[in-house]
Amino acid sequence: MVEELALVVTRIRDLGGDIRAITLADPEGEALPSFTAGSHLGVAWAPGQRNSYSLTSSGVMPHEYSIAVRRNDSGRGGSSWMHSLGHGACVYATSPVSAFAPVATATHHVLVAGGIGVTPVLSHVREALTWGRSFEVIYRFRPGAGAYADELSQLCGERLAMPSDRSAFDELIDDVLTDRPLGTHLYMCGPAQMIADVAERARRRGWPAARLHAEAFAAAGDAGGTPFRVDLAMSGSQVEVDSDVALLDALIAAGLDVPHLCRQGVCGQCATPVAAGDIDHRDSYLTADERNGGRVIMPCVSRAAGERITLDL
Amino acid sequence: MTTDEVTTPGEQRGRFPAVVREAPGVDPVSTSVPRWDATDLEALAIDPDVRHWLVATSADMRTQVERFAHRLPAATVVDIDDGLADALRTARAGWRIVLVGPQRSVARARSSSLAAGALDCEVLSVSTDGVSGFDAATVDVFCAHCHHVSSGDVGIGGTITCGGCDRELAVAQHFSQRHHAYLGSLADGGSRHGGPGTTAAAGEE
Repeated sequence: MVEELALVVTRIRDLGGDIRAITLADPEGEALPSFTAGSHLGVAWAPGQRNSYSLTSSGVMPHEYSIAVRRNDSGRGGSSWMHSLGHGACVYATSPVSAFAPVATATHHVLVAGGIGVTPVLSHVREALTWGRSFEVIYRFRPGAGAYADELSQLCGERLAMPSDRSAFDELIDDVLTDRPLGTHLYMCGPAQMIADVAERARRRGWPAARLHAEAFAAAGDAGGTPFRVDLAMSGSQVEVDSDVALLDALIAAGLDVPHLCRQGVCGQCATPVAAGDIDHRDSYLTADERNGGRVIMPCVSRAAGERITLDL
Repeated sequence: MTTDEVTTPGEQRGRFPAVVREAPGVDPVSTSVPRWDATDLEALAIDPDVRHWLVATSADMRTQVERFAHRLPAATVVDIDDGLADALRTARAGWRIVLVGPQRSVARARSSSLAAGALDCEVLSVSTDGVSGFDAATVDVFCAHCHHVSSGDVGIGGTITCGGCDRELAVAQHFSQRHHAYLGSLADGGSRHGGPGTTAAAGEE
């Protein structure tokens, strides 16, 4: 059950490359809900607006939550707001949500991080060390933007590889995909393009999708497209969705209370029933069967495939 | 626990000729009873992206399997009962495992493969004695009372004497992939000896 937590900022640390680590705690210093590796917080930065940030700290009976925020001034404003927070500032956030957890039956874990996608990998590494799991990390980043590289190096030792360029990265990935034990699972967090590339290499080497786990950092504007009209079956009203507006935002602007969290088509919170119309599915939450069924849409990223769609709202 | 409420297995034997073949409320379509991928190697779907196959087979199928393996990009062929455990230790992620043999061997090999980290979709099972667990064959039965696994020629709804505790077990429509066995429990369910509590106590011996 996701609950709302009131937290205060207890530490701020700049990691270079516009990335800032922010540590949050209970105002009274009480223990916080535990979480599994790869979990994130949904931090509220404006009314009805939340950003998801992966937890980088240990999830076992924690007294603090650490997240890392890369400032993106051309975004919707969440990361800039996070960077404006000072010591002692109050923040409202969801309790940790798990959408990128380690697979319990895996015999070996390969963690692939690109840029700021290193954040959930850090908590995976901590948990793997705590429980003595077999793992390795491949971390790729732009020069000068290697957040947590030193900390990861200390935690992982020989198990960390930081390929300096694209071809070294590809070579390493191919080696992993060819020669790791049968029960290996591979986790990717970073730019959508990196994830798509690694997933394609894996597929060509016979890896089924069930061995691959991804958390994408969607680029801004991914929810845009051709304008379309929404008919609301329950209320009988209509909503116009412009090309640069996400369906979710158009529904919220029209006064509809659509629950949502990640805004990346990952968490499943905003699932909305569809009565009629074709869907341009862009999420990574629905199964292939659910997509083909055409009865549900994730409005944070997905849109109508045609000029009209009817929602059961 | 009072032992006088529990009938000995010897007393139970032969007392229950009418066995319910399908449990009420259980849909045969959605039970855990195995449905094998094929009964013939030639019918298997071969994923062209897979670069290495581990094929385990019983001795009588060896020639046919070697011929099949010859068509794969790369394959290791081992004995399904004796050679698979070693092969699984060196198997790599991205491989597929093909199991060819009688149902009981395939079920056991499937269980070892999953325990070694293989995913359900990576193990292809070719049964040489029936298309599914609904066909009578030599099978393993897990005793709900003493946890011994017995083998015998018995179908779902039939009965088998447990090799561990000598109880007469009814074979349920529940198949455990982990134990590679059907669930067997006291054929009379304990109902005429004081209700379900009596049976539970007997199981804790």
